[in-house]
Amino acid sequence: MKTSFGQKFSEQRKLKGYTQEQISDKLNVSPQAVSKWENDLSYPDITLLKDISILLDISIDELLGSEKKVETKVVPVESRDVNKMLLKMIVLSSDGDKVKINLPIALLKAGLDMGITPKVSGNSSFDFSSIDFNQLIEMVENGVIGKLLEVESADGDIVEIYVE
Amino acid sequence: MRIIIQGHREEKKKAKISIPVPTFILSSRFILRKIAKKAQFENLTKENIKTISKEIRKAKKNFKKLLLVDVESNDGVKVKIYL
Repeated sequence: MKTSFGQKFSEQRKLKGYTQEQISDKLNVSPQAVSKWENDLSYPDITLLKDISILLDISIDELLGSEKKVETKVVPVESRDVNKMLLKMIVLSSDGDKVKINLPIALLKAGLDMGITPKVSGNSSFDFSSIDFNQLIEMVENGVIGKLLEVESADGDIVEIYVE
Repeated sequence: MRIIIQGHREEKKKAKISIPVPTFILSSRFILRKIAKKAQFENLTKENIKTISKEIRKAKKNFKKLLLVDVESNDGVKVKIYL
């Protein structure tokens, strides 16, 4: 399902912890205008898109509903903070069910050290115990981020794992 | 923590239930010990529970309103769990 501009804007604003009033102050527009954007009753002026993109830390493509393109990349050791990274698991089952899990890497690591591995129950036939999460953590610690894994099972279930 | 459940897409009035769960319950060592016992996690020692409790508090601080789980079934029922 494609996310509308308003939904994406609202979601990202809340994620960044801004109120509609704070956004309106920063962009020099009325709070009513921001409310209308979020309800898809109107759209911001095209000249504001760049400022919105910087303020909400999201690309203009993503704001306008394009799917985020995640690539695998290696970042220098000094510019990454594992405590602020998330492991995102997305399971799209062939039945149409969607499961998205966001786990802080530090929490996952603590769990793995204790022998607890993430499990996703449901209709998906994918076996999560076949994923070596310790290996994934090691990759992240060595600076690999982005898309780490993409699997499509014979039943048509898709599993993707990202680190952001 | 907040758990939000949204009803079936074909219902005329979609039911939406929002259950707030105080973080102290989630990061309480006493509760975590009880969960560990119930879920039969034998590796969860006192020290491990202390670490998990600490990591949950840290995650709460580092990721405000983190969407931990987002489930949508093919009939439109949605369950979201925010930290």
